[in-house]
Amino acid sequence: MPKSAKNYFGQNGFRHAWSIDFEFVVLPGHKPAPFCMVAKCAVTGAVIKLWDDELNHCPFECDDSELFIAYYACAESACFDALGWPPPRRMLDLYAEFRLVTNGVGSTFGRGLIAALLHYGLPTIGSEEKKAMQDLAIRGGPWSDEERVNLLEYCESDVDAVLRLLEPLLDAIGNNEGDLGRALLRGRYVAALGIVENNGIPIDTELHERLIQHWPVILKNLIREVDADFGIYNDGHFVQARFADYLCHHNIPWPRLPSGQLKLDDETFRQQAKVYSSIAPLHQLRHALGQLRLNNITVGPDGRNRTMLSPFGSKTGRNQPSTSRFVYGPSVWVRNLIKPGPGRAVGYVDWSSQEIAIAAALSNDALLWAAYETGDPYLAFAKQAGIVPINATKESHPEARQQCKAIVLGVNYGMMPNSMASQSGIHVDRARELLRLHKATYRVFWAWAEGNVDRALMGLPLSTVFGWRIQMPHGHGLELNPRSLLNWPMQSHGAEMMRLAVSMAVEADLMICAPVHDALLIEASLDDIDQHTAHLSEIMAEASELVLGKEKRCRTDAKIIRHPDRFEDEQRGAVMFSTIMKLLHEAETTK
Amino acid sequence: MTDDINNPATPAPSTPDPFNVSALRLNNIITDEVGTQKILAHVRVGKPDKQSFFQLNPDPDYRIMMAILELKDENETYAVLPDIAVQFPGEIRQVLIRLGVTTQAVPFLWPVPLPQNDGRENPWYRTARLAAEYAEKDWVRMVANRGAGCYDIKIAAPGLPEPQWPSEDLSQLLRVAFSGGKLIDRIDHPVINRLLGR
Repeated sequence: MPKSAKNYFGQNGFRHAWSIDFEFVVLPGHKPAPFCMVAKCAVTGAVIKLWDDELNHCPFECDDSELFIAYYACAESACFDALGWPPPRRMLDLYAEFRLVTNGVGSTFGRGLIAALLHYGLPTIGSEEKKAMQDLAIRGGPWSDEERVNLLEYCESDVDAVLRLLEPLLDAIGNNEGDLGRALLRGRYVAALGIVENNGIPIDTELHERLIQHWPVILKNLIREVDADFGIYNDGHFVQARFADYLCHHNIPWPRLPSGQLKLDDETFRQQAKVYSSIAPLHQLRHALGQLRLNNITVGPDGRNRTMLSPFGSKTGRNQPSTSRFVYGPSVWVRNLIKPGPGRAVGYVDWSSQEIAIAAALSNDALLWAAYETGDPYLAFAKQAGIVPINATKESHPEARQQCKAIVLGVNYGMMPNSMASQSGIHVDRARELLRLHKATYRVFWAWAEGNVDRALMGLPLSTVFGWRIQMPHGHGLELNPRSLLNWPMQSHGAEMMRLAVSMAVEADLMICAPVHDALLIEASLDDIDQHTAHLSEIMAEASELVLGKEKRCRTDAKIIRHPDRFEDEQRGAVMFSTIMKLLHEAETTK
Repeated sequence: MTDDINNPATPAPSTPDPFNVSALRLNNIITDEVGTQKILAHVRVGKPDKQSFFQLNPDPDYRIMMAILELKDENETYAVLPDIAVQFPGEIRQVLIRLGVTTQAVPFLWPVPLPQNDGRENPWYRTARLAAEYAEKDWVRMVANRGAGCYDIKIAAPGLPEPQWPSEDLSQLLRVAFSGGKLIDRIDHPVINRLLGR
């Protein structure tokens, strides 16, 4: 037991600081089924080992003086929840802390527990041995006496590994005022997210199964159906020359490779489909043919999509769930599989123009905040920059507003005038002029944003208001993309907002099914859904104020879907879903 | 199975509280100075860009009478020392150099034409001076109206931000603007040689 860890936690008032690890079986789409647990206290040296039925009773008090420490603690939190134990009040996730230490500079060995130990030159069990024990745990019981001993020893070895990691990571966390509190704030989120993972998302399993069953036939007919409007496929193959002809005929500019060939990757199609909606069905067809595996979406026996939500996975601190297993991961139309069961409803609440609010509040640009507060920051920019008269409306100046929208949104991503022009269908000279006006109008924001990029390129850390950081290694300035650095504060503070909202909502006993970038999905009974959604909206507004500062609140929009309706994204996925349903019907009625 | 649970030590009054979120907020990340300094490396000399709104600094310390030589084909402006300027009266113009800045905070030096000595009034020069007068208070755009033979003066609607002036004084601005051989300070300057066919 590191003596310094004992002192550290003792000085911070903890009665116990438990390094804890569960072994559990988790089948795709299921909640974890824990079968053993080992905990060792870094303060008192106490040890607790529980096997199977002994887990029925929580051996901890779970009050403010009991700290739980784990590596990737979301799993431990999910086990607490699955066992019906009270949620930890104080949690420290060394995975989150290791991610924070290495965010930007990276780690040679990866992100797992063994990688963290190797990073600090600490002893570790071999990865092969670890894999063998993980496989034994995943196989499920019954286990022989010898296997049981081995599994408990393996569980204990992870607990000891976490204790070894404490020394370097407590050094990294620091012991100044608020340092540990901010680490525990990250742990608070992880504790809540384990419950969210267990909640899962309600899926129309009957439709899901029918689609999986007929998917090969649907795909074949999908080419015929979608390509009828394009004429690009020949015998099931995408013909680039025909696509080029289509683009010329419809006057659609398209990004090219240095070789001059059309760029045909998924990201290019995704971006272009946002601007030229006529392309969207073609994009979704290509995605369906190339990547979509409907049976990868993990659904448990209770009809709920569950998967690891992977907190702190991205450099901005956002979650990074699997794009194939999470129902929000693949094509937009797949979200139509989300359907609340009988007597149930879901609410989808998202922050409006979250990135603009963050940019305005954190840069202290009064003009930009005033624009956000109008509720239409695009038209407000047009007015502030003198592009439209002061009494202009969305209806009187739709074109100017649309152009300004492209610029305002593009700025947050550090887009250049060429990209803004191609994504919004305006002339590049116009985009250049609007960008110039944006810089002239929101000077305070630009000074702040460019200062952040300078700071990162100098090798100094960028930080959120709750301490999530990124630091680029010295001498790597040329390899960095200043545009993504420009956007980092907006994304990372959006992530802080989301983490707070999830924590507060779960603690308020709201049933959060999933965080989805700048939105949360909530579920409740038909009777409660209005009240619970309103409560969630208030929590999200409160979370935004905690991040943005006093009296700076981000607005939210809410949409409620009641059984038997299903979730749908009318703008982006409705046409494709309708086509898929038609083809499903054909496949089921044609022999 | 449970073993070796010691009697816990007396707990300290309270542990760090992740639920008291506002107490954990780091306020200094917003105002942290990054420490970089932007060097003024270029100052354009010329009349205002027809597509930009601009203002002129009303401070008398930011204006100076100077002799300039303009090479129209190259779109270049040279400052000429007085003892050299008197030797080329047909080529040199006396102007009032004024500091201007665009809405995008780009500074420039505008050689504002002076009234002609013979009492005749050139409408281009007159309207340019008028624009300079307006630009001391408002954002102004100056557009050539070839049909009328003068500049049209456009004043921006209210709401544009205040002008952002460079921190350098006029002598520093002049040094940057006329660096790189743009100061004719000797009779064998390459531009003079060119004018004389040498």
